[in-house]
Amino acid sequence: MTDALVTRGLTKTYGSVPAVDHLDLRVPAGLLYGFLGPNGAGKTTTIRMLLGLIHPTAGSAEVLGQAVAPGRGTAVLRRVGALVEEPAAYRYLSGRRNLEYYAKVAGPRDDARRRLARVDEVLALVDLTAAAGKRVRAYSQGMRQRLGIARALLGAPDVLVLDEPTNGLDPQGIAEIRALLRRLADDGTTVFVSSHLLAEVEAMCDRVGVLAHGRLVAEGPPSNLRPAGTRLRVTVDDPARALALLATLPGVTPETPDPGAGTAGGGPGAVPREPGAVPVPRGPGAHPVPAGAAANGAVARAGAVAPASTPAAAGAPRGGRSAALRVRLADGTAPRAVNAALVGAGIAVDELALEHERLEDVFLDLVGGADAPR
Amino acid sequence: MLRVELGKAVRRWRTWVLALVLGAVPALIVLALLLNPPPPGAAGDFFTLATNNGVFAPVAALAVTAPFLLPLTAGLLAGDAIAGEAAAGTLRYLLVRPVRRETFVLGKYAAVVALLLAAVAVIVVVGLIAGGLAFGLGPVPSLSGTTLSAGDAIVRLVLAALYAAAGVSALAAVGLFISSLTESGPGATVATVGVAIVGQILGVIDAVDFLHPFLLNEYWLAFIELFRPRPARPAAGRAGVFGAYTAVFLGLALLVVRRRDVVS
Repeated sequence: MTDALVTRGLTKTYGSVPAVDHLDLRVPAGLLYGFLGPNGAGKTTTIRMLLGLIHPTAGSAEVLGQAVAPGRGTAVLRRVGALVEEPAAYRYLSGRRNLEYYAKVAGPRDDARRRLARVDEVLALVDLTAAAGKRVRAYSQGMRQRLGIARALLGAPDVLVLDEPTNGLDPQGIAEIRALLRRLADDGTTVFVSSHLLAEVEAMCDRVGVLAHGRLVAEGPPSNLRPAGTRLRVTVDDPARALALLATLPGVTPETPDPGAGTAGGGPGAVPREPGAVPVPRGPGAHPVPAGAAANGAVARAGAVAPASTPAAAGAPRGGRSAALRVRLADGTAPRAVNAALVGAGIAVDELALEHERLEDVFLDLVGGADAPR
Repeated sequence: MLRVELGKAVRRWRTWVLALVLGAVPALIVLALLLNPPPPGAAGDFFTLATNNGVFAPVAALAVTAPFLLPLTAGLLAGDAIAGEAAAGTLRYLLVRPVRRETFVLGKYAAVVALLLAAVAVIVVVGLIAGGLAFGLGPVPSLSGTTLSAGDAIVRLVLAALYAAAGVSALAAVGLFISSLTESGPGATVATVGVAIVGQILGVIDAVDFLHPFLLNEYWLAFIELFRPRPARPAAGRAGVFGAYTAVFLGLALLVVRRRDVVS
């Protein structure tokens, strides 16, 4: 399979701050690719370099095998449709006139009738036909967003680059645009969508790249973004002994309840990470610990933590050395097995609770690794 | 690019407001002369001459608009041309369509020049109609006292209009360059008009008379000489100044836009 978009060591530095930092990205042709990252991660800067709007400080960007930079790759950009940040349009022109203008300005010698037919087509695709005659001045944010997507579709592009395309849309609009992008990808268009919403890319993308601080911190199918299994909170009177015991149980992986004791990355089922982007310990939130190598180390560190300092311990019963632990249960492992094992070993269990894993936490875990200053 | 730009301009209220204001100038001049005619035999400026012959009404209107209204128009159109697109965010969508950056700058300048030609044409046509209706169009007494035929006068009028348009287009090139440096259309407009005003201030200060040959505004009114039988100085030299300004500042605008990171 060929690659629709490729960056090699792509870097953009503003002052001394890298907005995009030696980014190596590959987007295979024909996929719906999610480009996930928090605000300020460098998504838009990357997109601007892919479209030849800004000069990279270092590295290169390629679209459909051709280098793109300001003044270069004009020919290949004809096969690309783009939405970059806000869907800016001429406010004093109607939606239709805006599209006609952009259609004409790129191909003044195209057949006028075909051009107008294409404008009608894309208006229908984004469900804007009824409002096409209104001036953009009077459009709602959602309508402007639709217009921006319509403009990106004008040239029937092979590659669609959309920067947060569902911004400002209502839930129904979001569903419609997702379905549209899915359909385009199924028809062979490469769709590259940036987003700061994990749920969004999880719901629609074939593949996801996660950007944080200008670096790719994770890449792969979206199912790999979430750690497998469920998380169980166990409150016991002897946490150190309980952890040691639980680490020996099949299908149970202790997680460190402690801020600053994680070594995420690389385990089975985890998302493959860039070699240069191993997350470093950071603020609140537990890191999933790989089932293999790091488990013992995690136990040791978890045991050394004063229970009162862990957020989970705040809700635990007072007295004794009672404290909460977190373990990950593989699919098919029941909480009662954990309980039975603990009780069987003479450890008092105060509470067992399944914890709902919030998507934001997964996301923060993914991008958090690059938080440390460098 | 030129055609679609003009298509955009005619759908913009601003264009028509400008046309209305510029067209009002000759109409007002003629109206003022009708209501308050100069005494017969008064010294021959264009206003007086216009009461004898309507052909001079557009000339008078050009002379009145050349120092400020036309530069203001140039500033509005050129100042907004690049900065306005950048501020609205529409510039990036043009460049990724893709429109080549050179095509963008040259197309924008061509559109500005076309609109300035239209602006001058509005002044001349309205002036000719109003002047003709009020005072008639006949053989033209020139400033030096000899007579020009009506046909010859019209030819000179067209030349005068083209000359005025060329002068203000040179200023528009300066405006386009300023526009390429900023994302504020109004800022670029003010700066461009500022260039014209500062030029005119420098033009009346004798201490800097060494600068005067290099000031655009020193040449803007020179079309008046077309209405002398033999122009005092060769017009080609002045067109050269306009051309030099245009080439230098259009070149600078191209350079800036080619190198620019489009982050708006």
